[in-house]
Amino acid sequence: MRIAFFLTSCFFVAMAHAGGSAPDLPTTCAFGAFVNETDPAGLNVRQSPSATAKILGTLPANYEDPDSPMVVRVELSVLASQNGWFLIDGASDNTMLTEKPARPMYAGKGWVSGKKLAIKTQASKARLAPNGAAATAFLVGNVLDGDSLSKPAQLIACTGKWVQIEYSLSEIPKGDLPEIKINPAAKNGAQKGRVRGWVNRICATQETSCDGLGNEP
Amino acid sequence: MSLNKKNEGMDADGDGILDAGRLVQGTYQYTEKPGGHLGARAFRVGSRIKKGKKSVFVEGPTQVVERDTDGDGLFTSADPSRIDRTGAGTTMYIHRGGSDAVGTVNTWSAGCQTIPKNRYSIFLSHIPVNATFYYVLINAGA
Repeated sequence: MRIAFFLTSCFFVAMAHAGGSAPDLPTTCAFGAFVNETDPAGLNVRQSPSATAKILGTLPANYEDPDSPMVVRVELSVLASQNGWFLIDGASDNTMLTEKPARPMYAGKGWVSGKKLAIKTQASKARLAPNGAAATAFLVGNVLDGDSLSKPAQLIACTGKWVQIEYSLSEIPKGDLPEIKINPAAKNGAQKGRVRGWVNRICATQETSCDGLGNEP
Repeated sequence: MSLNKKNEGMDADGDGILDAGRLVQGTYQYTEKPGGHLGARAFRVGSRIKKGKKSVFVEGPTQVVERDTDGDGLFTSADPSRIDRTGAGTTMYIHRGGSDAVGTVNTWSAGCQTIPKNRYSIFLSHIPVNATFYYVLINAGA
């Protein structure tokens, strides 16, 4: 009930910002993601899906292990998306990885930009639409697995267990580009040098892989 | 394979509870995992083929795991329907784990093969980048 009220409230805020034109409605989803923030000031969590909305709190920047190249990101749950913004909840540090006390942060519901979120996926393909029968946008599994996917990707939208990502091709060695077999349609709507695709099989665990997802059909 | 609350897991025996899994003993061919893991090199079942000047990753066969289907925290023959031949896919990596130089060791994973992070650089020094190697897992308690 609280979630429904929150979404409704945000919807009306978005209507006001749009001057009465019909904005995209929030789509609900359920997956785990990570904050990808390098600004020491942290990431603002806002009351509605807008860069000018009231700030409810902040999430700390990536934790960089002083003894190794390991970067540990704040973990959270995603509940919905709207216009490139994501409704999040339950942000927390992974203290098992940082081996430090949890840092203070805003742990409630609020909206953050998809540009500051990252995911891991064990999907082998990104698709042009959020269903397993949709055409392949580009291949994920052999070149863009795990860490290499989460770094340069930003989140665009979500629905259910599917997440639309926009991936920077500049992160891929030129020689590997043919390996990911990019569908020209994957460039639609994306910034120059980027491609878009929908992935599922989200693994919301930084420290290891996710078991139980089985083989992809 | 995740141990924590976010574990997708696998309900191998249909009791509605996700069952932790671990790789069964055997011989596996591993190679460099594309993308590494948490900022370090890692390994995944598979091999590499030459394509021109490049070395391309080829995914290995599905890995068989045994599962703690009765949820008692132990992997034993008493676990019903414990052998899972499909659910793990190829997710049983070899990667860096928690330090073993502390009082309570956390390997970070139930099913993946992990090397303590305080020993990981030594382990890596023996494996050339993009090498393919055999990994033999034995069950000393069997």
